[in-house]
Amino acid sequence: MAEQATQPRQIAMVFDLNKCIGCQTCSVACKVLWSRNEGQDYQWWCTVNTLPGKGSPKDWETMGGGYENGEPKVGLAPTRSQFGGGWQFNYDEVFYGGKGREVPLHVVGEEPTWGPNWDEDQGAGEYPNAYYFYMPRLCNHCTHPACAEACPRGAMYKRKEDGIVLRDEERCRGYRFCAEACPYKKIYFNYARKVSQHCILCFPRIEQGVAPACARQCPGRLAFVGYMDDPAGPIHKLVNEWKVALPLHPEYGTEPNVFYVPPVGAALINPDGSVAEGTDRIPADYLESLFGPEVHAALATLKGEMAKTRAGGKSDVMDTLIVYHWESLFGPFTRDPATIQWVSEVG
Amino acid sequence: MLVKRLTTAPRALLDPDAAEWAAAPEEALALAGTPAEGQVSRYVRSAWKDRAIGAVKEVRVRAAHDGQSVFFRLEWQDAAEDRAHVEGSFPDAAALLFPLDGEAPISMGSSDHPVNAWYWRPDLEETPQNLTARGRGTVKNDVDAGILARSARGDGVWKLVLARALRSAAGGAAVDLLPGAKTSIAVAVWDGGAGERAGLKAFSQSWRELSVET
Repeated sequence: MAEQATQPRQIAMVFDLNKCIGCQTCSVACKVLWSRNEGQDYQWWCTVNTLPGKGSPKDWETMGGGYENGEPKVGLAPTRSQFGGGWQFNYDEVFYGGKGREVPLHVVGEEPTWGPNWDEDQGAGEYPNAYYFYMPRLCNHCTHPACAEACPRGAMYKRKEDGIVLRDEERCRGYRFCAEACPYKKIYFNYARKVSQHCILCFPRIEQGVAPACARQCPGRLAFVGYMDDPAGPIHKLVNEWKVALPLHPEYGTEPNVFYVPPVGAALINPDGSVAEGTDRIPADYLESLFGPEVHAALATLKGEMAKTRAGGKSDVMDTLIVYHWESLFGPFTRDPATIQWVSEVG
Repeated sequence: MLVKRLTTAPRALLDPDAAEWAAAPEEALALAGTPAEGQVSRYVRSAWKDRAIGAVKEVRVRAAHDGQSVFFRLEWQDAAEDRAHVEGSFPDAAALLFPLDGEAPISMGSSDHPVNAWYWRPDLEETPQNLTARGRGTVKNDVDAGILARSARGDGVWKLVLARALRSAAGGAAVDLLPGAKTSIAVAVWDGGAGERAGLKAFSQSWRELSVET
């Protein structure tokens, strides 16, 4: 068990969107570990959406919550159908009923209208200048968590030793104010157990020195995990020193602790097929709408460092982002989970 | 309010439609919404400051005991029957509130003066919760006090009976309602379809004296 720190500390993550290929390994790693129980069929605590896109839940950026001018902003608790997912399939028929050659695998019951990655790979723009990128999202374990402030019972709380926002499921009485208040819409109501649930930053793994499942399973080596206050760690360098990692929608006012290195993207293609050097296929104002005006300086820094290495020079920024050795992603959390003897509790 | 002593077959009064209830006088309690500015969390205060709280305006209460058990019958109008936690809505609910000592404020008690609530929702079926609280936002699902519930729907109406042994089986976590006792009672009703839950409810505004007939 981690010793109670005298100073509050914050674990943070950085996702480098230049490397995400939308493989969904992170989503599945989390799903398999945490959300296969009663009432969790539609819960995907980690989702990867194609941007531009409506995301998961559908149009979540219009659902309010968070803060405006320091005051709580009214929000909607997304419905199950807005999240989508949790579909039932005809597994019995296809796998066990001998009908595998006659009947395709299909959804049983209500026709789906949205899902965790419904608009994957649609993006925006027109050929040859269509553009999109992938964005993994999970609970941001905010410094000013709107969810914790919204709960009248204190069932949502942020712990001092690592800043992870957790819920007390015994204290929760299913009011769903947290789900309304979270501007990132990353809280999932469990209709069977009548409690709210969300990403717990794999705290049982963190406490044993193991990185969260999403980060550790990521084949793209793009998910950094570490303490914000560790000057030698990649988080501090990417967020505070080089300022190439930015929060999503900083205007929501909750100070999220998951950051993103914005996608540099490709250049535009001219009508004659030549490359329009120095241009950006991903519109800068679109990236500004996601990450705020600081994104322009971040992109300029990234491009400068990429140019440096192309010219044969050395770049600490690029060395950090390339991740030659996977351990450099995880700071103190490099322990192999297979070395832990988990004791399962009854009840 | 009088808890009328009636001689009936055991547990006959559990049925909200039992003819025996006619012998217990009915009181109509006017209900008002809890004020938005009194809600515990800043978010709820902000989100509900311009919204109507307290959809149900009146609850009709009858109270009786048979020497063994006490029965409270509540009837209130709610055209939409909300039975469960579903997308966008909450179950209807009702509760009785009693002070655990004479000083408890009606606003869910205080740290030194707790209250006891018998809280029912349709999804709890026949087993309501025995809650204690020491102020808003502190409600605790406490020791099982053996409270029973039976509900029925009328024409746009909920009918509910909450029943329990006269003597608390839950120690200090529930009130005794012995013959001759005098205490106070308040009632709250939630319209789940209107988004009411937690502190967002219609309540009977002030303690009403409750006396148990000998």
